[in-house]
Amino acid sequence: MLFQKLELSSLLMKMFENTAEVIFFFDREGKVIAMNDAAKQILNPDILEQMAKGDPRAICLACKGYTNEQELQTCLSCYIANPQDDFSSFQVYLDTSGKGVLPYTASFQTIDEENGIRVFMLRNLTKQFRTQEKLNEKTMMKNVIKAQEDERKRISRELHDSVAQEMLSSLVDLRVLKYMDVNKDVMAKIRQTEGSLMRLLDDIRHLSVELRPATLDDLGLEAAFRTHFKWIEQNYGLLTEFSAELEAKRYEDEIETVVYRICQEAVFNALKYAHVDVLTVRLYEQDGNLTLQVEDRGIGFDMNSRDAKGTGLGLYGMKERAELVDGQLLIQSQVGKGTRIRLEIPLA
Amino acid sequence: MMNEKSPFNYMKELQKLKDSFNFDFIALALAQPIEHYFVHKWEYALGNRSDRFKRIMLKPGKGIAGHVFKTGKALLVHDVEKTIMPSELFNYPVVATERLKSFGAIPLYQNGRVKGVLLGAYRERQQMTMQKFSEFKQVVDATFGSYYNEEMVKR
Repeated sequence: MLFQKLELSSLLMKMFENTAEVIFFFDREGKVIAMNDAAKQILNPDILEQMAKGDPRAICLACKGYTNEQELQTCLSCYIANPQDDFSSFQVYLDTSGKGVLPYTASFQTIDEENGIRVFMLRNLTKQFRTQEKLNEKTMMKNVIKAQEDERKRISRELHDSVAQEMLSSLVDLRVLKYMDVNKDVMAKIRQTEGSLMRLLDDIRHLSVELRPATLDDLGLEAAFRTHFKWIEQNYGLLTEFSAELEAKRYEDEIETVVYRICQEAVFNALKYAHVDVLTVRLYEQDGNLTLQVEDRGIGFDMNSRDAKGTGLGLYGMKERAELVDGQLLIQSQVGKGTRIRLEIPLA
Repeated sequence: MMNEKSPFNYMKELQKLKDSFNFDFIALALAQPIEHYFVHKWEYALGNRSDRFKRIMLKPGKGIAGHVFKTGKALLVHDVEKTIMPSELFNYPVVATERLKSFGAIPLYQNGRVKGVLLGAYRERQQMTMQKFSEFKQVVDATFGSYYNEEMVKR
């Protein structure tokens, strides 16, 4: 028994000295009576000095509050002042030396009722927080993309179904005027107005398609792409050699959206930066994957270069979108040779 | 003066303008009649590097021609590199594909409406000066008889 007790105390000493966990011992008044090396490392030297002097409020210099149900950082019903409350596990913020305010998971427990000795143990939460944050960011990104897509769909539908329809019926009303008994001047003005209205109607339709093509929802990828490339040609003069070898006409809603948006972005990138007049887009199925390939023989770019030509968000956004459907995005580029974007989405 | 019966020889007139101002590139866009939905294209051009810009349907408010069609005002860009941000350049397809560095665009009016846009351009920076631009406008006024390039203003 004695031997075991000796061993245990030496083990406990070793743990106290070597663990990354920060350990403080407090007496009844809140004076620090002992602390381990880990504790000494995270505290500012002047706070350590205050503690050595036996200031019962020294810990408050480092403590930036703990988390309760109401607030992230609070001093309300402080754990040190209310030892009778349950503080077996909570979150606390400490001002650490050199690293600023960091979150810690803490426990504050009385270990010697008679002498009022309490132990305060802390574990750094930063790493866990970062993991959590990454995870949140991912889900957030997915939600943002989905929200954006939904909103675009709504406005696009609204423009197409209601605004454009109303416009069309005014146009018909105006055309009726032409068959009425009007003089030449009025007729000329009517024709002009008709032209303006037709142009406006065209603009609204374009806006609607630009936001989100109804073709994509109604007819699928191939049709939407053909319309889009036609539009690119008419607006920018860029020719797209498009070939589609698809087994199925339609795919899941989400997959179609991802493929369409990534292709849109890739084509726009080629348009803006590649300095080419022609580019190739292939859409096909292979080994159970839906594959999109956008290729140009333009000026290319240095994949390792850190300064992007645009916002630098385009490629990032494309990757994020690909991940939404467990797809893989491969970007290859060589200065002077061209760029190839390849997206593979498993269809199982 | 232009004769109603014989078609106006645009190419010949463009060539003359190009020669007298030493333009690297000159192009003319004409508005189509109403039945064609007001689709404009660059129909006549000289000194072009490729035919890419001919594929472009001009829309009011977009690009150089669109801007001039919509506002009805002449447009002078002395130095493209200073006026148009590189990230915005793709919105001006003609400037981008033809690598224009300095240009002036003039609206051509008929019956109080912009019927065409004439673009004279250089591939070197700062070639189109204020002086040259106003000369260009004057010559155009004299050549393109049935069109005029100033907005009708009631006095």
